[in-house]
Amino acid sequence: MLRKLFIRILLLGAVVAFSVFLFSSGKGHTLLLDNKTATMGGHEHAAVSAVTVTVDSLKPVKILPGERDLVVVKGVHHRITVSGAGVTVEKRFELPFEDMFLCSMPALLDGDDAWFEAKRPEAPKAADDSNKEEVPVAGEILPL
Amino acid sequence: MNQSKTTRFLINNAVTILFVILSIMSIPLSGYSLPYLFQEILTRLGRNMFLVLSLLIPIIAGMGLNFGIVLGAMAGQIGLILVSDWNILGMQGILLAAIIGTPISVFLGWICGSVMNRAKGREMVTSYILGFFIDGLYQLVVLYLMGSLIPVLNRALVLSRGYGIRNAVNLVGIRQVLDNLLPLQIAGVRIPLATYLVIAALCLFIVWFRKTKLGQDLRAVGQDMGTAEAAGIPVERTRIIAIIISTVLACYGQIIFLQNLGTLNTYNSHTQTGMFAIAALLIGGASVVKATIPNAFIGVILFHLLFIVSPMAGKELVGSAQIGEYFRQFISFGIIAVALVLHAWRRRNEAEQSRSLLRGGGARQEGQSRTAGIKED
Amino acid sequence: MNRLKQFITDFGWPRIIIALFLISLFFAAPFVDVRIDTSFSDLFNRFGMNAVLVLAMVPMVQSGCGLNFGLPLGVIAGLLGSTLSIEMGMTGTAGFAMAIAIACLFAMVLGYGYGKLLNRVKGDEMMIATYVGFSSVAFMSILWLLLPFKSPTMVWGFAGKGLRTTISLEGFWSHILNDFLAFRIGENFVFPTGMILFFAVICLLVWSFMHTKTGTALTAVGSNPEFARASGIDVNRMRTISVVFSTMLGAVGILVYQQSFGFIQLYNAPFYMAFPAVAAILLGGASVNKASMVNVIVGTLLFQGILTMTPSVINSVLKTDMSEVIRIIVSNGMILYALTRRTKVSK
Repeated sequence: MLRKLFIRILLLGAVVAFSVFLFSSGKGHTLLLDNKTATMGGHEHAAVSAVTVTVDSLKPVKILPGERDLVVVKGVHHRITVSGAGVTVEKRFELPFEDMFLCSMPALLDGDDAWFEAKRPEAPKAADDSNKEEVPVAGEILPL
Repeated sequence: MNQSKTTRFLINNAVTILFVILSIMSIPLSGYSLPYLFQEILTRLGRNMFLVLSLLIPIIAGMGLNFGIVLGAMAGQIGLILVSDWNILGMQGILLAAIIGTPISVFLGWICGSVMNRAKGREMVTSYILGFFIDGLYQLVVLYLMGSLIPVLNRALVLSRGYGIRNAVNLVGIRQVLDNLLPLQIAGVRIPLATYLVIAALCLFIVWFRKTKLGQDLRAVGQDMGTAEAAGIPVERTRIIAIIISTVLACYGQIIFLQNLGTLNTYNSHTQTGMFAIAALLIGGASVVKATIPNAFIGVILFHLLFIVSPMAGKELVGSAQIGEYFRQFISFGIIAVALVLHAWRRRNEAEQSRSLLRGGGARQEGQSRTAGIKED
Repeated sequence: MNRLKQFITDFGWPRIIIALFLISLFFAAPFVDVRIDTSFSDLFNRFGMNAVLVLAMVPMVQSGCGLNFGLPLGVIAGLLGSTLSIEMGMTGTAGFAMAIAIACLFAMVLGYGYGKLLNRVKGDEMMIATYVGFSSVAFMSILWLLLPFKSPTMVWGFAGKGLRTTISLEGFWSHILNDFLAFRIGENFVFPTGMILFFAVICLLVWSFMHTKTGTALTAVGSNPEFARASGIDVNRMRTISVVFSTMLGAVGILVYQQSFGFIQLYNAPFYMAFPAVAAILLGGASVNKASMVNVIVGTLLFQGILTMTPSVINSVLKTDMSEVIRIIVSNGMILYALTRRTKVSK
């Protein structure tokens, strides 16, 4: 009896642990790659001339000064390679649970450890096209 | 003697044969090429087989067609909504949705089984209505509580009024993830290998399950509840377990279905689930008391074949694709009606025969079939 | 106290809860700026619209055929009646009468076939009825597109062929019953006297039929088929009669509904029309094999009451429209409750 309960709790624990693993390794993150003048962690970094950024095994992106590009990655551990202004920096980094991160390429090139930070997404202001808010059982029409 | 064997075969498989004939007639009318149809059928097999297979176990347990698989579908959708909200991508998203959906399906399956136990003899109607009822609760949760009482992080999923999930949830993060896990292409035809492997695994599970003690119990209950009870099998509990298994499988089946489609119609995706799966199974030659894996396989192919070609065939034949669409509806409903009629008719025949045998002495009372248990609808 | 307890057991807790809920809604209404007179007006109107459809459940329940989930067949007969009446160009009372006549004719034919089918499948009527109903609606949808209707008010303007989804009864017999002897109280309350009178007449008809020899035989078949058979009653014939009667009531019911609504709805509209009627009669106290006029009246009042009051009151309170969801939960919940009651299922 007790043994059965023990095994069940163990299994439950395994499922929970597995779920946490799924959550973190499957979490999608949007990385906003900026080549803008930015203040990250108290230090200001100036925008540089065009940089080329490679995240994990995705295609390299070229970002001109003042511009921003975007990549979507999955999971916790990533690698980023930036080359610009004659300098190449490669870094491995870990992402916490947020959805979106603002990444400053100039800060990264300068070697600043605080080169990315979580960004709270704004509520989407886009016009909502779903006017159909009530979904009746199909076909039924009741007059008011 | 040979003639009666052929005629018997024809009668027993009338529905399937009719469908084959209809399909053969409609395909050239529709104008679709065979390679296109072949690819479409392969895709749809991967998409729908799991759901149809989830119907088998309740039939084995004598509970008829489980219209309550809609409950499992809803559970799976809740899982998918949460996973989309948390932005979990890839296989992790699918697995997490399945893990979330499982306890919900178990709970809903338990409710369904219990309610069906209280309505013995009317299981099918009851599960049918229960599906609508739980749909109401589902809408209550998803359309009103989510976004307000239940926090939703990703506001893009929420309706403009501030709460309630939008009508269509784009499952871009997990789109075709299972299908493309093991991509296979033979002669220009794409085969979702991983999905097929999962379906094969389910088939093996069903075969194995029938041989286990629980499976045998289930079959005994399906044969005759009274005898099973006398043999010491916990009939009520076994029936509930059968429904729970069916509901959980339907949950996974719906997830597989939706990952292939790539879009979740929050309030509509699940409503046709039960109907289409049941129609497909019946077309494949299953009945209310007997269903096998080949029934599911053949049924999905035939049903979806007609599904694809009827609009265009209708257009060719009568100049209106809409008619083809209504025709398909008519056939789907008609098939279920015919199967139910055949089943009821056969059952009455059996009862008549056994009654006339016993009419000699101590005839049972009309209205009570065999023993305490009344079979499925 | 004992009598109260007995009443509660008979009436059933779900019904009491719903009745109390409805009363509380009426009390809450003035506090949330919902006009009582408009509400009552709506309620009576909806009662009249739906009552005959609910009444259509009675014959089949009494004869042991179960709840008529195949009501769409009767609705189809009614639709054929109204469309043909308009095609003939008849308006006003004549048009309505013609519609009823044609509808009843179709209903008799359809009901007869339907009844014969149900006799072959005793014990499984409800599920089969549902799908026979569905297939017929789908089949009729094909026919609405193909049949050679010509009337310009009904046909798609574009192609000139095939009926429209919704056809207006304006100028024909819209509100023909409602307006008969209708009276107003104040600005917002209109009592559709004609429709209520019509329902009363039909009710009386049904009641008297059920008390004729045939009617009593019908009830006997439903409550005790063995006894009925032993008494020499032709069980199958009674059941068929009940199905035909039910279908005819369904046909008339949809006509009453249409004249009040002002529109004819074709194609997919009849699909789910059985469910509210089933829920209403169950709400009124009927069971799977017993139903009376009182059940019809009480049930329709309660059900339509919920449907009328919930949108107005709850919407004002929560600033949201939950009526649809509540309707789904209440109606299906009632049907479930009835299905799971332990009753002697006569096969």
